[in-house]
Amino acid sequence: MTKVERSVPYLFLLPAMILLLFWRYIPIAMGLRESLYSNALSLTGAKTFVGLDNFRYLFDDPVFWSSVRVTAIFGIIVNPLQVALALALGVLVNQSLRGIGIFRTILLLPVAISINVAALAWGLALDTNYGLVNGLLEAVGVARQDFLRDPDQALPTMIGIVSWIGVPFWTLFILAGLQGIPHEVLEAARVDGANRLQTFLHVTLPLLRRVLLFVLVADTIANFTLFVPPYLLTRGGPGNSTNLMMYDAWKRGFVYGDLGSSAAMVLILLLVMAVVVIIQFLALRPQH
Amino acid sequence: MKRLFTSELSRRKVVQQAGLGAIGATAAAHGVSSSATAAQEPVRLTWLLDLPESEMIANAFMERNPGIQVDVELVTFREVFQQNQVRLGSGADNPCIVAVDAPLVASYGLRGWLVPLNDHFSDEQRDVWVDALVDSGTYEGQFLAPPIWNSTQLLYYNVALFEAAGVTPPGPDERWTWEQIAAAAKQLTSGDVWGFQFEQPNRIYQLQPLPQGKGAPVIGEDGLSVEGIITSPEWIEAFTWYSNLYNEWGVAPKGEVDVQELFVNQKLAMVVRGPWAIKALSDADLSFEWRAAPHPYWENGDIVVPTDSWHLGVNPNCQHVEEAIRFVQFASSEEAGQLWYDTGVMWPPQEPLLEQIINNPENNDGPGKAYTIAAEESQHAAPRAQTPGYLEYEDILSSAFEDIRNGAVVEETLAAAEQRIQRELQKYRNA
Amino acid sequence: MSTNQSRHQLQTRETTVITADNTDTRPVALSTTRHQPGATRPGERMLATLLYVLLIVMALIVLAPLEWIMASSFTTRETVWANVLPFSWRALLPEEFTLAGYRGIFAEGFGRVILNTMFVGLTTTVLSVIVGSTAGFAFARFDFPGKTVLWVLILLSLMVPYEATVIPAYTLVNNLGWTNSWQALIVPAVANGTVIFLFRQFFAEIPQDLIDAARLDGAAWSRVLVGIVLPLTKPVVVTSAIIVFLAQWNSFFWPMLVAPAEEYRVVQVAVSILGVQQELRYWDLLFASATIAAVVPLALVLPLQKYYVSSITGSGLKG
Repeated sequence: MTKVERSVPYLFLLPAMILLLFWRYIPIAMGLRESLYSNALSLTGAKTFVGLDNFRYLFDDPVFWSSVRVTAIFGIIVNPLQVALALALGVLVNQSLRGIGIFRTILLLPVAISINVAALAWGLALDTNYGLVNGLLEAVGVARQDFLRDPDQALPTMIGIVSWIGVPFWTLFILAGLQGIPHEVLEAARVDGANRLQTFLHVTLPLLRRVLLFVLVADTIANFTLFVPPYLLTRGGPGNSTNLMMYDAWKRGFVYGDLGSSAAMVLILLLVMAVVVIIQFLALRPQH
Repeated sequence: MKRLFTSELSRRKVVQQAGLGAIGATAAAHGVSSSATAAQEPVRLTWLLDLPESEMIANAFMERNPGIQVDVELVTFREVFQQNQVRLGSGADNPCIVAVDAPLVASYGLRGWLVPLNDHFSDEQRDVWVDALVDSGTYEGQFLAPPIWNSTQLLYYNVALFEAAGVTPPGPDERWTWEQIAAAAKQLTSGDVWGFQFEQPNRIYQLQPLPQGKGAPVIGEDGLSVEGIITSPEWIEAFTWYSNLYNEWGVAPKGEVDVQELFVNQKLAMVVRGPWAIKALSDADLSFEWRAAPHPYWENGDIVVPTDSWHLGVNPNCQHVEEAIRFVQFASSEEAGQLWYDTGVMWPPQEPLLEQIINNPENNDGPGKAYTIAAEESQHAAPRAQTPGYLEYEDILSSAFEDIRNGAVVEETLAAAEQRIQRELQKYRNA
Repeated sequence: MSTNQSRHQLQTRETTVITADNTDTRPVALSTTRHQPGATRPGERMLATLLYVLLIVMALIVLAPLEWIMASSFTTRETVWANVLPFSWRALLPEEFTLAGYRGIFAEGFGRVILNTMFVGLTTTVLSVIVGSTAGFAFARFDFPGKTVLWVLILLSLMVPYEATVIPAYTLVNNLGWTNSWQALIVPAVANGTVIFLFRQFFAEIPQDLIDAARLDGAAWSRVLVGIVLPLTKPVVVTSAIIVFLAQWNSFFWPMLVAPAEEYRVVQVAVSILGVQQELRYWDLLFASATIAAVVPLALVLPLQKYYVSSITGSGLKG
């Protein structure tokens, strides 16, 4: 291989890496470095190195631990749920059923709705007294529910709202992946006597492996770093029941002005996320 | 490369050397460094705020000060705080003119985000404003931010709903007790009509008259502790009453449905709201009559009415500190106060204007009487907690009030809030 | 080598690849008979009915809140809440149809805002697809020293939440003198880890023979990417374009921070400001702006659906 030839991949990577260096890596390093410093509150403005004090402060804080618990429950439910539903929806709207085009269009609509607008709409639709959903429930004889105002229902409700946007969004990628599976392969499996389930499990799924890995990893990251729904809908309540770690970290930094413990919290979140993502890569690695 | 990611000018230096000389010198240094082109173009000041009417004040100032351009950046109420935190926190030169919620003067002052203005406002100038607001604008002896608006709260009620329920409403000068409010609300609540609601049902701004009216403080004297305060019997009694409104008696709606919409659609009989509601209700072309009455209080308790609003300060990193100060002087003047008041949206902080409102014969009766009541309420104004940790304090209390409204146990919720606030205030006790 | 030739080669190629990959499959018959919808078996019919019920329920869940926002946007300011307190079915159809909300937002400069956001969104999309596809190509098709480290860095760039880096990134914008400029809105969003990841995953699926053949014909690597790889992965290009455009269309905090001047105002910032005044909200303006904020990207995204429609003769590239 010539020298020029060896430089090819680096040249392809150059624009992305330069942009990432300035807009991501240096800011990331600077942002996370705050976790080792006390917040600059004094008039002298000097930042003091405090070692792991910010981490100790968090570990002593019951709100931090409740936030970890909420994030764990949220993640364990929302990620498999969204990926499974996106896969199901992708396969469903990819069927050759009459009128499927209309359904596909409708079901993909939430993709274009911003999370701000979606939160506004669902916040109003789920209102205890005036919401559309309770109007519906009442019409069929079910008692009104508090949804986002009930400590037991708030997190499941938030999972629902987040998935209303999330599932169609991830379905886009599944559809792009399904698009790549030649019809002949599926036809061949049928001819061989495989039923729909067998075809799906043994032909479609293996061929979607790379797409699924992408969806799983990207979805996990998106959900770990989620903060707009608690910010707009619940402020982490009621009773801290929707106080996701990213929202808590954001609040510590930008409301409480405590950049140190905010950065420490992000760093902890990042480590957890890294472990989960590594497991996902290992689980879905090519089997050769 | 490191210089790209650090702010050029340390604002703290400016603050430490507080006086005008230092600021003048810094401004001059900037003038030199920003080269000769600046001489031709107008001086541009950025002003970040949440009210569209701000454009009108900016225009009025520009007419009087050719050569200075004020660029208004409109954001939502909640975003003003976030934007200030990020921009001022990273030492940016914009916004030049900083909107500061009254209780945050201490927080911004402690962080060195505001230029001290002691030398730019004479005692006579400061005497024009309602006293409580001058205090709000001062931190550790430094006058940091003059008030541009004020606020107060009154009781509004739907006359038709009172008649329909056979309840006698309060007279225009009659101050109801919270006990009377609850009793009337129970009678007024029926079908899809609610008896009562607060405009901002989970903010300490709106709710602090409940414990304060029972004689309890809202924060320790040093502004750095809430130990034993939020769990005091007065607080528990006050918020048990509040909880009952939403839970036990069910006379007030949970959720965040707009009180303006509930009231104009005749689904709400009484609401405690600010004076901006007077214009909103007058403009709404309603099919029913409404009236206002003074803010409620506890039987045998003190009369306490919420107050204060935005103040304006100057960012020490602004490239044109002197011009920015001139703008702040204008925006807080009696002249500007009249302009604000004429929009019908904002309430003036200047005492002479409040007297004018009271003496205006159009405000003697009918809906206009509400203006007089609002102006008179100033004498009962109690400012919010003075603490550098106000943002934490407010956020934690908001969550607690929201939880109580949704049915959480009052004692436990307040105890947890007290602990959390105490914990967050620790950093200021150490600083 | 032309694109058509390569595609042809790919199609012939795929059957072999599949046979090789699914070792348990017996020789594949390339049957052209296709399963018809609503076929004869009763089990099939029941399944189809079930699927339709499912589709209708899901469609209702998706449509209900959107329909309500849209209906409210055509309702007068005074009556917009009348049928919601409490909720009644009449809220889903405006009683007095009015365009006042729309007239209101365009009078406040919403047209300019849409053009601004389109400009930012489309520019970022084009740049992001170029930068993302070249980087994804390097990761998918080359082995080079430092590859793993760089790949981990890409994942890191996508894992760290933006909120955690906003202060240093904002300081950089300030020190470059980019406050209130198009580049402050566009440049930081161009290199997107998700897009690079996505391209890498799909580019890895392309059969090596195709690339080898092109290389033997003397095509430069850039030619291989533009002439062969990208045309074969249109759904991915489209998906990447959609996610970048939507991310820009929906961004809120960053534009408010770095380009607050009115001439740079973008859609989500405008939606949040329009119709909000101290404690009062002008709901008609809010609903009208929310409707347009949703309709514009839909008008761009929906036509791209054709790239997702399962085509029977599809140029499959799975290997």
